[in-house]
Amino acid sequence: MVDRTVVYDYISRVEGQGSLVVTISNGKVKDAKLEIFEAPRFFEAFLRGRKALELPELTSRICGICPIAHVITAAKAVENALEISLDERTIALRKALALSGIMQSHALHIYFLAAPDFLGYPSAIAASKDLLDVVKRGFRLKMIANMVSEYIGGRAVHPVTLTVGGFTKSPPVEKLDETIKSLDSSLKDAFETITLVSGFKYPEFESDHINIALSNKGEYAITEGVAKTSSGEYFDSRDYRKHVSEEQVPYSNTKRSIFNGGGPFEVGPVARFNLNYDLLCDAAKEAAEKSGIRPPVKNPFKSTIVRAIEIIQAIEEMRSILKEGVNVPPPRKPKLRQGMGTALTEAPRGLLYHSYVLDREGNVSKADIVTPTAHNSWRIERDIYELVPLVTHLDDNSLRSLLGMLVRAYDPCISCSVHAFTVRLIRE
Amino acid sequence: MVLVHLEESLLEVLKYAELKYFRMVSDDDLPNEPLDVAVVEGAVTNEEEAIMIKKIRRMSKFLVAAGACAVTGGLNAIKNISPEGEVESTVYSSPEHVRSGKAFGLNEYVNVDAYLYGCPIDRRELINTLMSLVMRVPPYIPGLTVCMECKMNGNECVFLTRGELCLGPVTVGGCSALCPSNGVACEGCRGVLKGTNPKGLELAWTNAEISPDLIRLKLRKYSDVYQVPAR
Repeated sequence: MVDRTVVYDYISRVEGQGSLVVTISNGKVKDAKLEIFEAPRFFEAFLRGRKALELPELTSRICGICPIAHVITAAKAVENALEISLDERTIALRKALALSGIMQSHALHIYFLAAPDFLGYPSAIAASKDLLDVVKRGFRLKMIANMVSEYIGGRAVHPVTLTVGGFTKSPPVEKLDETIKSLDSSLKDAFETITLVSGFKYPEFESDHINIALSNKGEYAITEGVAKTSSGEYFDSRDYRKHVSEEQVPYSNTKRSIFNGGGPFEVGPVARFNLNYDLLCDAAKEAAEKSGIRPPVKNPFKSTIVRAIEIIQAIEEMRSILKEGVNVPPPRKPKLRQGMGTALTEAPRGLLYHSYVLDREGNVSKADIVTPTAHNSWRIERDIYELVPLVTHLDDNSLRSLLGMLVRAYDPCISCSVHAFTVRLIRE
Repeated sequence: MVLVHLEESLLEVLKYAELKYFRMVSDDDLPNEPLDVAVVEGAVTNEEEAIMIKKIRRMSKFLVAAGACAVTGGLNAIKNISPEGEVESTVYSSPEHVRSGKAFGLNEYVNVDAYLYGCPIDRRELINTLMSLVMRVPPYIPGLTVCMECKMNGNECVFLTRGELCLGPVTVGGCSALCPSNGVACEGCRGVLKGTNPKGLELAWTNAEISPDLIRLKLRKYSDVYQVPAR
């Protein structure tokens, strides 16, 4: 017997178009579907036949929020195929660029996508009428993150200087002091963000599952390292396909990722925090303590707090990288050849995989890109199965908004995973 | 998307205009009342999207196509030249569940009143266009090429000095030649400026003994340079 079907058509405050359809029968979830209806763009198809050196620029266009992650991952995969190694400063500057992208995306998520739920507004713009200082703080954090991206990448959205083998241009030395000062000033906003998100009332819910995040010796890994799992396994990007497989589901344009032929898993800020907590800087650990969370975080809603902690980590690390100097050697002209290249990095939303097969002239003959949202999509559905039985007393509207919050907690980027979201609830 | 990157300037613009529908940042549903201005991003690739853009056109007094995808179909349109079904089966194991047609800019389906070029669009151009509409004056239309702006910046030419294929001579300016100023050739993300000579550029490349393959890829990227969008 069908109690009810709850439908959330075109989920708001996520990037892209998707919907959620949940069918509830006898107090249990009979079916939960995250339907991504945004039209696929077929990047993996039209990349075939393009030039390897175009890949960072082309794949940047997968996403307007995390272009930096795609640019870096594509460049690394091509460097992997062409056996190009980079100097230490270039690697460090890339990490600073990646961190600026994470800070920007997290500030956007905390203040503009998640906070309206906790503050009781339909949007941050509506909230700005009463809470102008709070909304302006969100904009300031975003602005400073974008400023650093622009400083290193030449442009914040779709950076232009990052190329296979390095950077086409070193960031201007004359603007270095100003950039570091802006980062210094943003630390206060970042700690006030910790106070804000620690005060939110999070739904009580925990789910236990496998976490996967990048891991590297001596650093909170973002752009370098191997994948590490909460089940104690490690694997290199070259072995990614031995551990993560994909399955197409008929109701969605996003494919489902499966770990070791078994089940779903989680990537993203919570997975990074849980697996690499010890490598956070002191200020970030202090923020974690202040907000009262410690690993392992199992409540997906609390990812908002983890994002705020990662903003502090990003600011601290960007400052120390920039302080060591920004001059990088010009890239050498790459020698094109046949081969396969892979890369795994941490995008704002979690583990991102790029893999390319190149022919002798350096043309792409095969492309395989798996985004964090594709990694998480099955996990989100499983969470719905676990959460709904605990809250069947809620009416349709309350349930819809709670499920919207849950989906939002994973900060899905539908454009990346393909592009679109809706929640339909079906009660049986 | 770039609307949220306006940061505090967005709040300034919203002193003069009310934001009625923006699903990415607000729960508000599409209103049933007419809109003064609609700013639409993205290409149209299937029937649902075609129906939606026609509906938005009917509701709105002024329609702005924002970004390369909305202007020309953008990168998505690269797949338009592949045989039907081939792209779907490259990406999905059961392509019959996946619906996607050719990608087109908005003006394939509806009349567009103004264009914001580029991938991404330029923040200043977005603010200028919105403020022009608030003041009821026609938005500014860029009339220079990227190449001219690059010269004005005093950059070394990436084609003449390094032999890199640059679309600056035929591309709509307004970006202050951002890519060449950072040592990167123009990829033409802002589309072709009316009155320029893409054939001449292609000939110059051919004369410089650039491989036809490279030329072909360069000419078909964010837009087909031989298809000048309406403006």
